[in-house]
Amino acid sequence: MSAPSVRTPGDAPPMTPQRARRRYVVGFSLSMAIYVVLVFGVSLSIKRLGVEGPALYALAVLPSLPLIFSIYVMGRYLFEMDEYQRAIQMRRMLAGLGATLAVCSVWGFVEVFADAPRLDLYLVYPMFCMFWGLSCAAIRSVK
Amino acid sequence: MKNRLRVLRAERAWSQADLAEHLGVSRQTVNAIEVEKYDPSLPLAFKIARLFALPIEQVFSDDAANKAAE
Repeated sequence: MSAPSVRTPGDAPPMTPQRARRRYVVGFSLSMAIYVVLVFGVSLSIKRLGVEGPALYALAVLPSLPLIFSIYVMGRYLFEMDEYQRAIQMRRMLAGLGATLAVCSVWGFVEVFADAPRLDLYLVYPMFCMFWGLSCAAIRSVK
Repeated sequence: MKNRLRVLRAERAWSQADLAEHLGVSRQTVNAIEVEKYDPSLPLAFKIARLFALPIEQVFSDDAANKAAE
């Protein structure tokens, strides 16, 4: 029986855990650097240029694009890491996702019924990252 | 599931990192399998058996079979 392979000669070098990790770190760092530049850039541009209408919408969308790219980078890493790392990261991400959904649901009702301060939706992503990070400390095994 | 990975690796004087490189997985994965914190997928289990040129049953044995043998 020949070794199963999904790659054909001439493809990119085989994915190793080290290469997957490097691709993730580079991709994520790059997206965060672009995000910071765009947040400040868009904020300044809107103040200085007095943009309105569809152009304002287009400008407002810009900072979220590197965040969407970072979500893609995280998903790609999840499928490029090895099976044990994937199993453990899936559990951690699910825990992070569950905690985020719980907090947002609770806060949503507190906003509606108790006039609590509004939770800006752009904070949901960093909230997920925070809970995911915390779950990395809490979930150390798949058994 | 029980396995003899640590013994087989020691027989070849390989480190966990060496074995990980042969298998194309991380060292953490090799460690997790060795300490039986993780049961590998069938493809990885066959890959391990093939690397040591052994039938898969001589590398891994499931708990039910161990109990039956006792």
